[in-house]
Amino acid sequence: MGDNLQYEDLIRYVIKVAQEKIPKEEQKYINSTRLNKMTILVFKELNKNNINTNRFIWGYYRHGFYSRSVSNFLKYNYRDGFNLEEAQVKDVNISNDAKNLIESTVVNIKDFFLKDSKSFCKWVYGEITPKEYQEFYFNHKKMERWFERMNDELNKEAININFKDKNYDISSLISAYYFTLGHLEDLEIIEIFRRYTDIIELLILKLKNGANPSKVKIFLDKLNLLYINRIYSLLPPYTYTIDGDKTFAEREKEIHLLKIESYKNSINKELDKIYKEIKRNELLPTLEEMKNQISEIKMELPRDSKSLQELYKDLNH
Amino acid sequence: MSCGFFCDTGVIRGLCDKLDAHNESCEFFFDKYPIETFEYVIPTTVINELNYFKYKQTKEAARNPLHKIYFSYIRLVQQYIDLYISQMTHFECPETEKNNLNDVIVSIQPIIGFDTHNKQNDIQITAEAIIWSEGSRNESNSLITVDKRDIYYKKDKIIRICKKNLQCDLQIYFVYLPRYFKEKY
Repeated sequence: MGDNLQYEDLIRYVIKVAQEKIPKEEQKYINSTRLNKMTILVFKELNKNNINTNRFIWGYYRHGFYSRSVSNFLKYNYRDGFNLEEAQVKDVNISNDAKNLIESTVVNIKDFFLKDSKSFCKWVYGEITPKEYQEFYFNHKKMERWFERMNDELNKEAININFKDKNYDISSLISAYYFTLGHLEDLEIIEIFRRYTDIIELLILKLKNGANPSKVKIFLDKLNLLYINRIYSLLPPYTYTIDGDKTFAEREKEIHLLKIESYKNSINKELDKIYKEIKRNELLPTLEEMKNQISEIKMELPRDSKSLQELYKDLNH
Repeated sequence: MSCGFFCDTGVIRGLCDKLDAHNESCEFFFDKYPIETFEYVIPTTVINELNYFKYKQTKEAARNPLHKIYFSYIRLVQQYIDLYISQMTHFECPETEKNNLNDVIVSIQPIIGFDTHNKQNDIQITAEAIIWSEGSRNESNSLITVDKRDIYYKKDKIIRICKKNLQCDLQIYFVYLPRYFKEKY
């Protein structure tokens, strides 16, 4: 075939076909995030059949596979928010081969985009995302849910949290999360993640030892916002997975790396500030409380567990 | 009597890590001389050494996952270390003492040896402890260590050579915590 599409025409035609093929009453489920993903899948299908799309780029970002090209197009053309039902699209001038492939692809995949939120996430992260990143995204969703659960519990009059329950066991979740950050090459980001999660663990330990839940909630809310707005943006494998038009992909990578640098600076300052406030509010565990917690966890360790000294010897070799 | 204790890296690890071979002796010492009442001093060398391994371990965990609960344990120990360090006096050699520090380092290099990175750290820590003790207002100053071979066993030689080269009457004790524990427990 050897066609060349303009990226705007691709997006417009996907919108047009989605409007034709998806029943009107279900079009409300296709928001900008879902349309973004639908377009990427169509792009990939076109690519497989040697139909190239100019200036189209995508990668694995905050909510799985994501295209900056589609995102910018929708923001520019639908400033009041994208709504598939009401979206108006101009006519597009593309080959019949491209049109047919786009139509057949949309028909094949449309049902996935009508799933409820939970099922849709499961499909995106569990089936479309490459295996090496799947657990990373699932751990992110677990982190989001953990903050929601803690928020619900700490809003109650009398809190009754079983910290060993897997829904509340933040230490286990953090460990699992670490193990899925192997794609990160920037050690500063891993260090930020360590500082951030250390603060959460210290706060929860203090809560376990009788800290005022309302006070703890104030800081958990701050940490949750910091996670959603900044920290999580550092973690996905976006810069390593940007694909599509080579020139634009390189440019996008540079822009994204600059954004990450500015985020790192602001996050470090924010973490310093939060830590100082937690300390001032006497929400850091005492040495005794730390010692007791360590004794408690030690009882559950596998028999052959090494001391830090032995572990460090291994790291040195 | 006011006492000051200058900490070696192994002491901090031994104190905080229940899996460490020296945990019992370190805990015993810190229980006997609580940090709330006595001055504990930690040099930049020790802080840097502990942080270096903390960063390396964190990076390593992402690439070579450990058992989940074991990794939770390691993080907790490192958080405990950070908390303890934050309550200690941080020693940085004053500019006016840098020449003396270098003299002490050069004096004890042939005694401890400097063929490994660990030994170089031991020399630095021991030298800083000596400089600290000379400027300290405590009635009693001790370097507390769990390093028998490179520091404790060589203490007499170290003190002798430093007294001679610094031309002063050094007043620093070297306390090997496992031995202290054995004698006092």
